This record gives sequence, structure tokens and C-alpha cells, in this order.
Amino acid sequence: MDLNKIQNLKNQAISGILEVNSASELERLRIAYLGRRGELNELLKQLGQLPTNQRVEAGRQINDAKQAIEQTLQSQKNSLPDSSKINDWLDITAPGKKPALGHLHLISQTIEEIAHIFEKIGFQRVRYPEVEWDWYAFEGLNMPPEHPARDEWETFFIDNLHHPKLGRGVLTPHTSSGQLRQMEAQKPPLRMLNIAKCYRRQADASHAPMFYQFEGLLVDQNIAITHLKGVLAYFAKQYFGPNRQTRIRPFHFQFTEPSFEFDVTCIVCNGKGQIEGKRCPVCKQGWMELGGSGMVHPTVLKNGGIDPEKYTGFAWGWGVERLFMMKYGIDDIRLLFGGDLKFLEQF
Amino acid sequence: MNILVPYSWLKEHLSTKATPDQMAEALSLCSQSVDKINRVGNDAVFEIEITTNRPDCLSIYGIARELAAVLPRFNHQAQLKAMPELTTKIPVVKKSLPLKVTLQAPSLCPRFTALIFDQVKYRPSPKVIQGRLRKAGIRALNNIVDISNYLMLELGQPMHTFDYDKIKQARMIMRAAKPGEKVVTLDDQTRILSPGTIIIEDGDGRIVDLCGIMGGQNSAVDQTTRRVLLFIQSYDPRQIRRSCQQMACRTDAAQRFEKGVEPEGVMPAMKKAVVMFRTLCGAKVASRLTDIYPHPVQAKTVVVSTAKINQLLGIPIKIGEAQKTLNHLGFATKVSRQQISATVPYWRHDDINLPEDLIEEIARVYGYHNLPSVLPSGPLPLTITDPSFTWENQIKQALKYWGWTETVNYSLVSQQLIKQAGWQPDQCLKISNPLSLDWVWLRPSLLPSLTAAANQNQPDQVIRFFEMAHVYHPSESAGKAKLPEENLRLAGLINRPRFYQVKGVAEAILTEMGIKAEFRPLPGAKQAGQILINNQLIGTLGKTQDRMAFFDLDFSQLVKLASRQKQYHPAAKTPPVIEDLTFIVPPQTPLGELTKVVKAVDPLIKEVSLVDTFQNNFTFRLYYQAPQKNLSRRDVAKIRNKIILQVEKIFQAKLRS
Repeated sequence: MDLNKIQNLKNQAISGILEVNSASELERLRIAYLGRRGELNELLKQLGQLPTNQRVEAGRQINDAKQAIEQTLQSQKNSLPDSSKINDWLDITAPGKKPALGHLHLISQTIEEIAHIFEKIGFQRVRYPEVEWDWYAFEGLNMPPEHPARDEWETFFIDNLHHPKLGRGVLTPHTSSGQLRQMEAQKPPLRMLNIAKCYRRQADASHAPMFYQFEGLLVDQNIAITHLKGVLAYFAKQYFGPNRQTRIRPFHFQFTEPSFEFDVTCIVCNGKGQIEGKRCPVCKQGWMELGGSGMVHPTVLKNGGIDPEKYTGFAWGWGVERLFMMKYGIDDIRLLFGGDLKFLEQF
Repeated sequence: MNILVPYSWLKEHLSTKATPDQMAEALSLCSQSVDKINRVGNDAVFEIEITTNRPDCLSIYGIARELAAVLPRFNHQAQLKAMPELTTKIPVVKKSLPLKVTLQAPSLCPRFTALIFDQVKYRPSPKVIQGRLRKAGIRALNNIVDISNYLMLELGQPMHTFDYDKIKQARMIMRAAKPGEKVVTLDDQTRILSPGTIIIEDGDGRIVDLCGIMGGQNSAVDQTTRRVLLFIQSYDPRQIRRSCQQMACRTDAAQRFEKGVEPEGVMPAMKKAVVMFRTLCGAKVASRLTDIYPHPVQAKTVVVSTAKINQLLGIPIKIGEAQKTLNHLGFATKVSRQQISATVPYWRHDDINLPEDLIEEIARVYGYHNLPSVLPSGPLPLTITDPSFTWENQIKQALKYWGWTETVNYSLVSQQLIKQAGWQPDQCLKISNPLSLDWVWLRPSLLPSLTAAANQNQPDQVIRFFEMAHVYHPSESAGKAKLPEENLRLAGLINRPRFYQVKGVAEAILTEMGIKAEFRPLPGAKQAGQILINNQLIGTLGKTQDRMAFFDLDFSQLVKLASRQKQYHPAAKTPPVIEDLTFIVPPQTPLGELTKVVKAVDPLIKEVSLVDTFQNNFTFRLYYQAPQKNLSRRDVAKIRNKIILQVEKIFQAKLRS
């Protein structure tokens, strides 16, 4: 026996007693610790085995512990509810006490999912400015001022913000403004994933003035259209399920050549284009458009300090909201922003 | 821009057995995207979205040309028909009606053509013409105006018809508009011209045409018209675009001109117009052709190697096949030493400049859908992940499991909110072209929008909202040529005055991130405090005036200070002595200070925690522990007495016996 044992026994007894909420259980503990054959008496019996010089101290500590346990028993007994009402019935059907559980926004959930899918094939997330110079948002992407292609990007401008070389300050209307930033920061091979807020001057059920895009950029030697198809099909199958079919179609962007629209078979009608003989309300002949993509334009590579003779690459920039709005059938993007708990609690 | 293309009209230029559905599939996969097929009677009308780089497709003929190239890839034979009108010669008249033309700004009009017709009979167009116009979305008016609309739709070349007798002194001066000038256009609108807009002035100084956009009312064709001046031009697309934007007027013609109408397309349209004026209006050519075209466009040649084609496509393509594709699209080609040099047809002049542009043509006609999908296999870039993403996700997840709900609010806020929050406008960024008064400023703090978000709901439910987002502050550099600061912040709000809940969450976040911080009163605020790390302010917390509790943390800073490092301490060999002490303290005793004082009394006090408060009674649980020996009652009593003394001396608090 050593003195630690006495302290340990005391602490163990007290914490045990404090957790009890029935008189019968208290009585059981009293007998176990203080009873004639209780643990403390057992210790007292062993006192004789100790060297003389320790016996006094040990005896004193055992008494100490006894007093403390008795006090705790008494106070716990006093705090028990009327013992007559306590019984042993356990109602399994009564509701449990749930731990607190809040909600992550669908946008955050989807961003994590996207980041996770692309991380597996080497795409690294980055952060670039939301308030950006015209050069990065437009001109450096092969869209000079007054180019009609700019019509697609209804842009917000910032008051009193102008750079002598890089142009006006804008709220970036797409994540593509991260392309040149990435090329400036890193030499090929590069695999970037830029998920960020974007802003355009439009507001209706399918457009909010603020929304999220995810932009991928891969630049390396010998990158071909087949690779773009491979990466985007991989994503579509990971996100929407392995049975999705995908395709690319010709489109036009100033910063990619050639440019594509990327389609995936409709998740509502399963690519059939119709449901019970009627035209599917969400797709075009079985296909849903996910967004634009293309092979990085040689001018953009040059603007980013990369030799287009040596390297090629591809990029895409798609709406985050569009992905999950398709998946969950949400028909008004404006629901996503603000504090409508009835909406937020569903996810 | 979307256009409507009737199937029957296409068939006039294309011999094929392909059905409308087959055409739509081929176009969508290899050319321009067919959005819809509308059935009109026994005809089908395609609604096609034309991309900005392909103004040559903004016409029936342009689409027929594309179909002729792509349908064979889908095993449908297709042949573009020759247009006999294009080989007719414009009659040369002996006695020409006069027309004096002056171009004051030739750069705005690369090609100017005009031709006068006499003996024009004004009447409705034949049913076929009217039907085609209607299906393509334009109302038929009379045979004269209909010819110009018909040819714009068919060939993509806009044109205008004037009543020749209304052009005073048979004189036209093309120039840029001066500030303040006005014109009444065909649609009866008085338009104030933006300076630089291209206009025509007649011999009396009247403005008779808003070039490329709409004609003037004073020179319009009507039922009395006998002599028509036909006007076919190409214009500087940028100027047309600028004028349309400034005057908020965008006609079908202007939309085509601003995307670029090739000067070489002018004459084919003129030739077909001559034929149509003869057959539809019984008209005779009554003037020599005016054709001012000082700098004819030179055809250009672009060269691409097979190596490059194969590299970008990812599969090998036979050079002969690539050549055939280009020929189908109107390119004249020569092949030598594994290179194709292709002369660009005039209708693609602006779009085709680089080898990549030719590869796009070859690849899309081959069919992107026929290419395999392959994951790239190059070396992975060596980069270190920005730790802020991991922290962001980890803390958001923690908040979710602590019972908080995430909201996303607009970064743009209203003037009213800026005022309410008491922000100084010069410390905020303003949008110069806001869409609505709700979205004018970039928010410098998350709290006002979080409050608004909470107030969107019934006040009877307890709401715990948080948001992690950028806030924006103008850069502090003196010049303006620096981007604003974008800081990631994390704010939380409970719509009840539950201060200690928000404080607990803030403390838990700091603990999770391995950060030690200090909470101190915020000078000048009764109900708010500041969070400091090494005397650096990294956040605030407190109660708002409308009885909500909040925290607001500089997450960018927290990430910099965060640490995942843990240190291993072997467990103590001796058990602690645990006891509770209850003090009666005077009102407004700062508990944090009191705890600190107790803890500092003796190094043997391992831990002090508050376990209970009742009115002004505070109960602390103390853990006494020595590393090597068991503490006796006497050892503990000594320390306890020191505690009681200290607490009494500093805080006038008494131990409750």
C-alpha cells in the first residue's frame, strides 16, 4: 500500500458519488467504501504492513478520506429528488438529448466537394483578388476595351480606382481573372483551382449580382483537347454519378481557342429528354449545359509569360450554384443569399 | 445573338435529305448551337445562338454553308447550291442619275456602295417573301423595304433604301455627328446623337441617315416613291457599337455591323438586290454604281503543321482529311511538307488568324464528340497548399457541430446600411455603376449583414448565424493605383443577449487553432470587448444595441498565428488534491482578473476553474498538485490561506464558510 492509493480511492469515491441519482445506488456505494468490509476498512487493515514512520501519516489520510466521503454522501443524498418517485423504468421512446447541430451553407458544401474531387488529380486551390484590374479580368485575357465579347460580362466598376497600366478597378466578373495571376506566380506544369466570388450587373431568378465560380487551369507540355475532355468527364462522373455521359460542343470565348460548351446527360430525365412522354423541363434533348471551357489562347499564355510554342493548356470556369441548383432542383438563385432559415435548415 | 432560320429557306441554298432534327444535331455538335426547333405550319424554324466570333453565321446562307461542311460527317449528303444572281452583271446605264458622295471620315466606312433605281412600283411583296420574313421574325412592310430585310437575313448584309427624291441636291456627306445634333428616325423617335456617331447629311444640311443603325424619317420610302437609292456599306464596328450603347438603340442591322460585316460581302448583296428590284418592283437601274473602296481587304494565308494539329487534338489526323475539311469551309489550301497553308475566305477574315484557329475548324468538323477522354499524365506541380483553406473548412465544420448555421450574404450593401453602421464613406469602396440602391458599397464588416439576415426570421426562434467572407478596405497607399485590402473575417451572431455563448465559441475557435488570446474591455464601449494576441487586435465581441451577441474575428490573421503543434507532457505521478472554494465578491468584480490572481498565488495550483456562480457567490474548483510528492492537508491549507488573503486584499472578496 502507498499513500497514492488512499488519495486515488478518495477521488474515485467522490466522483462516483456525485454522479449517482438514486438512493439505492448511494447506499450501495456507502457499503462499498465505508462498510465493514468496505475499501477503507481494507486499507486500515493493511496499515500494519507499513513501516512505522509512515503509519501515522497513512492513518491520518485514511481518516481524512473517510470524512470526505461521508460528507459527499450526505450532501448528494440531500440533493436527490423525493426518493419515492424514483423507479427503475427507462423510457426508450422518450426523445434523446441531441448534441447541437447547425448547418453549412450549400455553397460551402459544394465548394468542399469540388475542391476534394480536383485535389485528387493535383489541382491546388488558390485565392486571388475579387476587386481586380481590367487587365486581369479582360484585356490580358484577349478582350480589349470595346470588344463586343465584353457584353457577356456585365461588369461593376469601382469608383476612383485606376491603374496607369492595368486599367480600371472592377469587381471581377469571372474566376478567369485568376489565370494570369497564376501564370505570374508559377511556371508550368501548373494545375490551379480558383473558387471565388464573382460579380455581374444582373439580377433575376437565375442571376444574382454575386455568385461563385470554380476555375480550373492546367498548363503543361503536350496538353490536348482529349485531356480537357478527360478531366471534365472525371469531374462530372464524380459529382453527378458514374452513369453520366458528357460531351463538348463548339463555343466561343476570347481567352480560349478552341472554346467549348460542356454538357452532361440530364439528371432529371436521365438523358432521355422526356419524362412520361413530355419534354423534360430542365434540359435540352437530354443534355444539361454545365459551362464553358477551352484550350488556353496563345495570347493569354504569352501575357502570362509562358511560351505558347512550348506549352499548351486548358481552362474552364463554371458556376458553383448552377451545379447544386441542378442537383436539388432549386429554381431561384436569390434564395441562397441572406438569412432565410427555412431554406438554410434544409441542408 | 440568336437568329431564326426556317428549314425551307435553308433548303433553297442546300440540297440535302437531312431532316430538321438531323440538321440541328450536326449544327449543335460541330458548329453553332441550336437552342430550339419551332414548328410553324409544315415548316421548322431553328433558333440558333450565334457566337460573337462568327458574324458570317448570322444569315441563312451562312448556316447553309456550315451545314454543307458538317452534315457529311453525320453521313448525310449535302451540297451548297450556287446562287445564279451572283454571276449577273449590274447593267451599265448611259445616262446616270446624279449622286455626289463625300466621305469626311473614310476610316469609319471601309466600303461605300450606292445604286439608284427608277420606275419602282410600290406594292406588297409576294407571299413567299412575306412568309419567310415572318418566320425569321421580321414584319413584312412593302416590296422595297422587304428586299433590304430579306437580303440582310439571307446574306447577313444589312442595307438601306432611301427615296432618292428626298435626298436634297442628290448630295450625301458622310461624317461624324457633332454634340447636340438630332435626328428623327424611321420609328418616329427623335434621337439625340452621341458625338462621333456616323451620319449622312444631304445637300440641304439635313441628317437623312443614322448609318448602320436606322434611316431618317425625312428620306424614307413611301407609296409615292418612284426612285429608290439603295445603300450598302460596311462600317467600323467599334463606332457602331459605341453609338448603340450611348443611344440605347440596337437594331438588327446594328447588331450585325457591330460584330463586323466584311466589305467583300457588299457586292454579292448588291447583285442579288438588283435582281430582286427588277423582279419584285419592276425597277430599272438608273445610275452608275458608286463603289468607294479605297483599301480592298487582302486575303490572308495561315499555316499550320500536322504536328501541331495532332498535338492539340490529342489524336493523329490524316493531313488529307484536314485539308478536305478546310476546303469544305471555303478555305483554299496547299499542302507541303506536313504543313497546310490555308487562304481564309473573306467571310472568315476577322476570325481566322492563328494556326489554333485552323485547328479549331478541323477539330470541330471532325467532331469533338468523336475525340477520346484521357486524364493528363504529366508531372504534378510541386506546390504547398495555402493553409487558410484547411482552417476555413475545419472551423466552419466545428461551428456547424456546435449548433451554428452558415449564411452567405452579398458583399454589396446599401447606402442605408453604411449609414446605420456608422462607417465613413472614405473608408469604403463604392460601385460607380450600381445595379440597384441595395448594392452600392463593398462592405467593410460582416456584422450588419448578419444582423439583417437574423432579422429576416421570426424573432421567437433562437438563431445562431455565422459567415466567413472577405471584407474590403481601400488600400492605404497615397496613390490610388493599388488594389484594396481583402481580409477574410469570421463573424457570428446570436439574436439573444447571450454574451457568454459567443465568448465561449470564440474561445473554442482560438483553442482549436492553437492560439492563446486575451479578452479585454473595449475602450469606450460598455458592452463590448476586444480580443488580443500579443497586444495585436484580432477581433471584437459583445452585445449589440438590439440585444444580440456577436463575435467578429480577423480570420486572415488567425490563420497566420494558428498552430497545429502539440506538446507531450507525461502524466503526473501524484494525484491532485481537489477542493472547491466559494468567495463572496463585491459587484462588478472582473472574474478573469480574480482567477488570474488565484492562479498566480502558488505554482502548486495546477488549475483554477469556475464551477458555479450564484448572485455574488463564485465557486472555484482548485487543483493542487506537486510533481514528486503527495500534498498533505497542511500543505494545501498554507496555499489556501495565501489565496484567501490575496483575494481579500485585491478584490475585497471573502471566503464563504
